[in-house]
Amino acid sequence: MSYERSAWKIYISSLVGKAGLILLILMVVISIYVLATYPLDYGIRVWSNPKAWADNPITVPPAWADVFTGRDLVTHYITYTNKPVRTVDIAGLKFKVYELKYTLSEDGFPTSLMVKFFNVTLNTPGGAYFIINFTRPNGDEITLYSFNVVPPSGSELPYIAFAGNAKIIFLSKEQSVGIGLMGYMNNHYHLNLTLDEVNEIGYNRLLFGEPLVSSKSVEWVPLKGDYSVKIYMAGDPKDSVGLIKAVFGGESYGWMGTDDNARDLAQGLLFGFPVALAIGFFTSVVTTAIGAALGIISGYKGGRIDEIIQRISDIVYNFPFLPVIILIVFIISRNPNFPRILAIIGAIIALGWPGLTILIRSMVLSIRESQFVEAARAIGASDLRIMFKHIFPNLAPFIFAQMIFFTPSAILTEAALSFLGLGDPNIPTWGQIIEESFYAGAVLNGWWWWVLPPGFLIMLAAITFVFIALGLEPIVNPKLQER
Amino acid sequence: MSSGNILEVKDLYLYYKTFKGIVQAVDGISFKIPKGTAMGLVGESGCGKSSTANAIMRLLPGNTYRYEGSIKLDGMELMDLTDDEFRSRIRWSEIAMIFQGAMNSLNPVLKVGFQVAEPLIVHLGMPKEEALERARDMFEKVGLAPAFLDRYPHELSGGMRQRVVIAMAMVMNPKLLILDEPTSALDVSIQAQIMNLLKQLKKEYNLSMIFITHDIALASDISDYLAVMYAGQIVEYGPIEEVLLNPQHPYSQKLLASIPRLRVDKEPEFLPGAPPGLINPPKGCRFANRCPSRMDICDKEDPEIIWLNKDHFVKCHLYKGG
Amino acid sequence: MVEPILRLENIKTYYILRKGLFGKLIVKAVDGVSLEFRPGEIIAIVGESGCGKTTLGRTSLKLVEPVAGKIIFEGQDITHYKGDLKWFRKKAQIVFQDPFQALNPYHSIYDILSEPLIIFGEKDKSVIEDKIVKALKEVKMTPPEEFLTKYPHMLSGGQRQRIVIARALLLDPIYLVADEPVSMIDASSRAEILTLFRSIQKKREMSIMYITHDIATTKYFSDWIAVMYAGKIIEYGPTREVLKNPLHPYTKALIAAVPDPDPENRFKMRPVVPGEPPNPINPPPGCRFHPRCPRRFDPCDKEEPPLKEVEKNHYVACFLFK
Repeated sequence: MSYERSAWKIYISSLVGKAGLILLILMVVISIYVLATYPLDYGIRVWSNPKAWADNPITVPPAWADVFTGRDLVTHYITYTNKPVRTVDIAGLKFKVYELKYTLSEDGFPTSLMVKFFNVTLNTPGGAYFIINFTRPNGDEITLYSFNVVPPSGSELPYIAFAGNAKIIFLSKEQSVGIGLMGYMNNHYHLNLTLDEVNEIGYNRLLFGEPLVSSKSVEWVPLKGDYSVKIYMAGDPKDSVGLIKAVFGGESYGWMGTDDNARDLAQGLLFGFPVALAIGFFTSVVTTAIGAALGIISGYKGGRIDEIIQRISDIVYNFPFLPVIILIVFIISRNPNFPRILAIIGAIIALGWPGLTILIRSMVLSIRESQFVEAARAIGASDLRIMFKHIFPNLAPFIFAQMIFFTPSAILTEAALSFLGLGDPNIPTWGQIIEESFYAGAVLNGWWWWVLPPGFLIMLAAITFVFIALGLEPIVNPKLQER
Repeated sequence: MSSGNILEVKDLYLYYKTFKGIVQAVDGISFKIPKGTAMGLVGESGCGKSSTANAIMRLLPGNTYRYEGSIKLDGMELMDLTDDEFRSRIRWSEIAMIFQGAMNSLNPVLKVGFQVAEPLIVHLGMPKEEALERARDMFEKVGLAPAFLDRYPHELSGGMRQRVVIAMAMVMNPKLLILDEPTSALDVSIQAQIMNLLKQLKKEYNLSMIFITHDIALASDISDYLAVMYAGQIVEYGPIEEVLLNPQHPYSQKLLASIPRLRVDKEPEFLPGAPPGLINPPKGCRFANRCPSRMDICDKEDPEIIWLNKDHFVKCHLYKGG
Repeated sequence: MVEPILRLENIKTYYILRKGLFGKLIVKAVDGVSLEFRPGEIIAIVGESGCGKTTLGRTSLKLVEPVAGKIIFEGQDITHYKGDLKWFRKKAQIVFQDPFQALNPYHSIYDILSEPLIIFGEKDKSVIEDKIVKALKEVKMTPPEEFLTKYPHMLSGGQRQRIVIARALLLDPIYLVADEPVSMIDASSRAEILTLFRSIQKKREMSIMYITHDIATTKYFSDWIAVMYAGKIIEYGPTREVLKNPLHPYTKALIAAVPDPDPENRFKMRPVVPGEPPNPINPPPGCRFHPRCPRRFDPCDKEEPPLKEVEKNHYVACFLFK
C-alpha cells in the first residue's frame, strides 16, 4: 500500500478528522455557491449600496425568531401599483386614486410604513399634487401626508421626476403624520394626547393599533384587519406615476434578520464564507511558504545567513502580535487607495512567518545530519537541490499541518482587526459585521441576531481547521518505520 | 512440583492487527528451558523473536488480535493470571527483560542508581534507602563502582549503560531473564566484557535465560539450548551441541554456513531470497521457496514438529517418519 | 609498482567542540594517518567506536576537511582545492552504514538512483532508466523494474543496502569508502552482500576503504588491514597475515573477542581487554593503548611508538617490536 493511501486511512479513522473534513466541505460548498451567485463586486455594488436595502425593515430578527417570542411576528410586506383604481372629484379637482392594500393578521405592530414614488411624469409646469390617506379596518380614513412635485424651471416637458432616485416618505417618521394621527386619536378615541406623547408612543403603533384604556394607563394593542393606503394625485390628466411602492415593515425578515442599514444579514454572512476561506488560506499558505523556506535555508546553510535570518525572526517573533498588526494596518490605511483587506493580509504574513522559521530550522538541523543528506552531498548535489529535493519532502507533512493550523489563526486575526474597526467597510466579513453591530449598540439593544451568528461562524471556521489539523496529527509523526 | 524446567511454552500465538492485515508474529511455538540454562533464540530480523519475548512478558500492544497458548513458569500456568496479577507477581520479579536498545532508553533525567532501585520501590514498596542499598550491591555484581550510583546516563559509556540495564533487570532476583540483542550496539571488546558478565551472573544466580539475537556465533557464547526461528515459527530446537554441530533443518544449516568465520578457512555460503512477510504467510512450509531440499509436499502442507530425540525437534518434511 | 589512486599523507582531522564560555575542546579524531590505495585493492580500517575510522573515511572524500596532511587523488593534491569538486565526486563515492537512514524515505527507488545521473547532467530519460536497470541487475535485485516504484520502507535491510551500493556505483567511481556497510544487517546476510560487493569491486578494479568494527568480515572483504586506535594506525599489513599472526596486543584482543559458533564457548570466559576506548579529547600520553595493555612496560607511557615495518609489508606501532 502506498504511503498516501495509508495516510488517508489513518486520517479518516479519527473522529475529529472526519468532523473537520465534513465542516470544510460544507464551507467550500457554500463558498462555491456564493461565488457563483453573487456579483464579483458585491461589496461595493450591493452591500454598501443603500438602494439595495431600501425596502427592508431595520434591525429586525430572522423570520424564524417567532419561536422565541411565542407569537407570530408581523411579516414584512411590500406591495406596489402603477394604475389608478378610479378617479374622484373633490372640490372641483380631479384626483386619480391609487390604492395599496394590506392585511394585518398577527398580534404585532408593523415596524414601519414607507411609500415610494418612482418616475412621476409631469406634463405641465405646475406639476402634480399628492395626498396620502390611510384607511383603518374600522373604515376611518386619515390624511397622513401631502406634497407637491414641480418640474425644475426651464426643464423640458414632459419631465420625469424621481427617475433615478425615488421619493421616499417614511410615514412612520414624518412629523406631519404625527400631527394627523394626534388629531385622529384624540377625536376618535377621546384621548388627550400631546405631540410629545404621540412621538413617544411611536407612529407605527398609532397607525396600526388602538388604545386599550384601563384605570391606570393607556395600552396600545394591534388592530388586526384590512388596511389600505390611498394616494390621491391631482394634476394634468396625462400625468402619471411609474410605480408606487408601499413597504409595511415586518418585525422579522429573512433567514438571519437585518442590521441597522436594513441589510439582509443572511447575504452578508454567506458572503463571509468565501472571504474567510480565502483570507485564511491565502494568508496561511504565503506565511507558511515564507516561514518554511527561510527556515530550511537558515538551518541548512548555517553561518552568516543563518545568523541573519535567525536574528530577524527572533525580533519579529517577539513583537506583540496584535498591537503591531494594528499599527501596521492603521498606518497603511491612511492611504485610502490601498485596499484595507490586503493591508490586513500583508500585516498578518509579515508577523506570522518567524514562528515556523524557528521550528523548521531546528528540524532541519537534525535532518541535515542524516546519512541520505550526506549521500547526496557525496554524489555532488548542490545545496539548492538538497534543500528542496531532500530536506523539504521530509518536512512536508509537518509544514502542511502547520499551514492548516495557521488558517484559523489568520481568520481570527482578520476578525479581530475588523472588529477593532480596521477592516474594510465595503466587504462584509464576519468580523466586520460584528464590528458594526457593536458600533450600533446591538448588544445593548438586544439585537442578538446581529451579534451571535457572525461570532458563531468565526468560531466554526476556526474549529474546522483545528479539527483537520488534529486529524492530520498522527500522520505528521514519522510513520515510515513500517516494513 | 515442576519438571526441572523453569519455562514451558506450548502452542503460543501472538497476532497483531494492522492497517495492512493481520501480522502472525508468533505462530504456534513451543519450547522448554531447564532451570539454570540459557536458550538462544536466533533468526533473521522480522522473524518474530522480539514478539516472542513480548508474548512471554505479556507486553501486548493495543492492536493484539490473538494471544493464546500455554506458558508455564516453574509449573505455574501464567495464562491463568489476570493482567494485574501478572504485573504485580510475575513481571520483573520472576521474569525480567532487557529490551533491544535498552541502554539508550534509560531515563536521561534520573540518576542511574535510582533507576536500578526503582523496581524495588514500586513493586515491593521498599523504602528508598534500602532500595538504593540493594542497587549498590547490584552495581558491584555487574562491575560498576558505587560512585556510579549518582551518575546520569549520558555520563556513562555504552558498555557501562548496558551494565546498568542488566543491574536493573537483576535487582529483584528474577528466575528468568530475557535478553533481546543485548550487545548489538556495542563494540566487539565491550561485547566480550558483557558476555563474560552474563556468564558469571548465570553461574552465580543459577539464572535461566532466553538470549535473542540474529548472530548465532554470539548465541553460542552462552546458550545451552538453541531455538532457530523462521517466519514466526521455531523450525529447530535442541541442545546447542546438536543444533550447532549437526543442524537438521535446512534453514539452520544455511544459517550456520553463512556466518563469516575468522578462525576457520571456509567461504561463507549464502541464502538467496528473503523471508516471507508475517502477513498472509504462504501455505505449506514457509521456508519452501528458499529451501535447497524442497519437495512437492513442502508447498502444500505445513510440516509437523518431529522429535528426533527427547530434547531435539525439527519442523521439516524431510524427517517425517523418523 | 602501480600508481595509487589515492594517497593520504599524515592526515590529521580535528573537531572543535565549544564548551562553555572558556576555550574550546579539540577532538583529535584522526591524528596522523598515512595510507595508499591502489586500484583493485581493499584496505580494511578496523577499530572500535571513537577510533576515528569514520572520520578518516569522510576526510578521504573531503566531506570533512583535515587540519593537516595531504590528500592526493590521481596524482593531484586536492587538499586545499578551491574549485568545484564535482569531477572528484564522480570518481570517489561512499556507501553508508545504515541502509534506512542513507535513503531518503520520501524518494522512490527510481528517484534515488536517478539522482546522481541527473546531478551530473544526464537528461535523457531512457538513458537514465537503462543505467538504473543495469545497476539494479548488478546488485542482483531482479526483476529490476519491480523495484523502481518502491519506497525504502518497503524493502528489507539487505535490499536497501544493495540500493545504497547501486547508487554509489552509478557514476563509475574508482575509489569508494564503504562505512560499516553490513553492520546493520543480519549476520546471516552479511556474507552475501559482501561477496556481491567483492565481485563487483574486482570486476571494476575499484579501490575501497572498508571501515568496520567486525574484524571477522575482513577476511572476505579486504586485501590489507589497518587497525586504528585513538586516531592512529597501530598495525597494518596483508589481511591474511594480520589475522593469522597479529602483532599488536590490541589487535590480538580484538581477534580474541570475536565469538565463533562453538558450543564450548559457554563454559569459558573470553579474554578481554579491560576498560574502555580512550576519550578522543584527552588521549593518554605515550602509546594510547598503554592503560589497557596487558604487556605494557617502561617507555609505553612516555613516548608514542612509531609505525615500523616488522615483517615484510607488516607494520606495527609498539615498543615490543624493535
